[in-house]
Amino acid sequence: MKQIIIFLTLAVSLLGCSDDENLGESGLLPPNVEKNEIDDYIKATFTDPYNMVIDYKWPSNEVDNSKIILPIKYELVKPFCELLKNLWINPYVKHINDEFVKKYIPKQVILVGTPNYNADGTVTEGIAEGGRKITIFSINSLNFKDKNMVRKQFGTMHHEFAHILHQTINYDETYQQITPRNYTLSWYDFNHQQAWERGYVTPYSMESPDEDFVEMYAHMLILTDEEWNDMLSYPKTDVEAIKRKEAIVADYMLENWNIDVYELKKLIQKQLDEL
Amino acid sequence: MNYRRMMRQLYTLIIASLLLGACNSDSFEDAFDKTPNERIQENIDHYSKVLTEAQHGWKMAYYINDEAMGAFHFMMQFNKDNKVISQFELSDNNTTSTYSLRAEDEIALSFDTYTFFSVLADPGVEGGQGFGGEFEFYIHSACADSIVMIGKINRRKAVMYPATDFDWNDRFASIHKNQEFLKIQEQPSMEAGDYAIRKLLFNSGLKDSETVDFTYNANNRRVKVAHKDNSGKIHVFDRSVEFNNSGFKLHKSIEINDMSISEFTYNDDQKHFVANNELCVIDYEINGEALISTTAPLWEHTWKMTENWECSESLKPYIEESIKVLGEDNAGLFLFLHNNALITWSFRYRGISGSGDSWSDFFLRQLYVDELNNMCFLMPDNEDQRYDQNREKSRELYTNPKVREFIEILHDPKGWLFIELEYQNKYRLVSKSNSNHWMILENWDPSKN
Repeated sequence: MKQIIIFLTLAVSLLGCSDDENLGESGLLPPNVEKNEIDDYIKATFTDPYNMVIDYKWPSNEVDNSKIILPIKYELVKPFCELLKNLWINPYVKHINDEFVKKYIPKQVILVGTPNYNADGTVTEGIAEGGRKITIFSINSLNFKDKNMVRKQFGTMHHEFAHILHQTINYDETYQQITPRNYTLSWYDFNHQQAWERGYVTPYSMESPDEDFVEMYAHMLILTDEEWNDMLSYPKTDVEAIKRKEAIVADYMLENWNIDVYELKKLIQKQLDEL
Repeated sequence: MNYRRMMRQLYTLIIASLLLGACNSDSFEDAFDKTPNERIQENIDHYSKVLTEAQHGWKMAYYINDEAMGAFHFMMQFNKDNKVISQFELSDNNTTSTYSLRAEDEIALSFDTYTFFSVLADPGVEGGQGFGGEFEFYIHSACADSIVMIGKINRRKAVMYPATDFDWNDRFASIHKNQEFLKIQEQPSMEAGDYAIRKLLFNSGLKDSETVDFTYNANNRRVKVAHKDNSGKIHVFDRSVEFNNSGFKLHKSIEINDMSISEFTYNDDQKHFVANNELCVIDYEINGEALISTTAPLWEHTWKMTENWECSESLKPYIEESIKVLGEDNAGLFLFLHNNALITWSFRYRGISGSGDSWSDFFLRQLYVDELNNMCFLMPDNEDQRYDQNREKSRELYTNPKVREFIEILHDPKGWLFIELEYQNKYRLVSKSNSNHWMILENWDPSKN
């Protein structure tokens, strides 16, 4: 009897399958858009060599629709992409190689025009998700001629990229033990000096060990030597903690990714000087 | 397993197989002759064609929220390469951005890079909230005569109409002209001390005793129309305004004695707006009765009375006494407004400190003033010496019976009417308790002190 039941079950299952069945077209219709010169530029500069997509057209499904966030200005897309290439991708290509960039660079970069305001009054400048996507905000207010502003904006790119790296290979757990007591979700109640006193390079570093780690990496790259020394020479700075963190970040990058942070910094600063 | 139970399962399977066997892709007919995707794509192609084939593009009067703000005007030329060239009445330049038609819950027109629509949504404006504008709309219908859309978030209707060559070259200039005409204008027939109130004047249909105020607030592009009926009751209509080439229209009509009024045309010869029913005009009445305040100036503005001290004869003795106490060259009467409500009157006294002239405030009354002790609030001051001087002056003011009487008049329990004399710069304030009391306050620019 059991065999009959199995036979009938199979028969019923197979009845639904017809060898000439066509599953038809995808139910998802892409937006009805023509490629323009920016699309061609992105394809040639990012997609073909590095398998990256730069989404600059309003990605309504990719952003938090409960917030007031607006698209990037069309005329800023190419200048920003040029900065992406010169201050972010090219230094890694020169310092390591094409293959590294192709493998680890996030596959999707989303460009957003306005800041991402949070309910607590803070502003999110960038988001890295799942090792494959980075969203960058506030591009419309970026002054492309202001080197300091550009430098800080690209700190966000290095910050988010570092998340992707440590999400791929985790960093030394001793990092979390250097200043374990001051991690707080109310990091925005502290100013820079108060963060330095507690052994963090920025207030946002105090949010969690991961944020601390990537803030340290980004600031090792984007702060000028003068700014870095200002931080260390502030009388109350916890120099020892910051230097221990710096050493762990530098070792981690070198051992796991073959990145000499100090050499990479020189390449980035050189590009900044040429702006 | 017993035999009956086994047979029941067997029958169930046979019936199920028969039922499922009936489901064969060849055995049903489509309700439509095209697939859903084909039908959606057809609509997208149609909308794209309508958008791009309008010879001179499209124009739109866009209401972010018709209950709160008048319309803003846009021009748009949609190109086949998904670029859109736009004009906005508040900008001198055209801008190029991109757009797309997307199949979502409905078909959406998305201005997918920052454009003039985005300006009205930008969180950088209005303290992180923006004005609430949208840059994505669901298309409800599209033909050569109009494209009807609904905002994706707030679901408000937005309609585009075909533009003309004139629209691209002259529409905004005409709109700007009409916007200026609707702001308060000084009247040539006025003499010193006169004031003009904008009224809706009827040439028939209403009795002489009936009167209608017509005030316009350029900040939110709305008008306030107040109608006093035969019984003396005042009816107020708040309406958003949409300017056009010839004049303006109200977002919703107003009804006065069964007469519906919604649109006005500017008559350049007569220098006034004429209603499209030609039964009334918007014109000035010199020294007439004001029924309602014009929308009071914004809170960040401070209004001052110094130097000329223009006021009614009834108020002169009070003001003269106050000036005497404060010192002729050092006195000022100020009014601070918050959110259109009278909050604070203050006397200001200009003291001399080491760093030069500076003003100190004697707030006559604030919400947190200790009225039982008749204490006035003194502005914090770093210099002890001046603080002492001010305290003395404060005591002098508050012990003067005439000044105390004046303070009571200033705090008229019924409030004051604001009559705009000079656009956003000069107001006549008339006491609601006693219309004999009036004074003129000017906009005070703190940077000029």
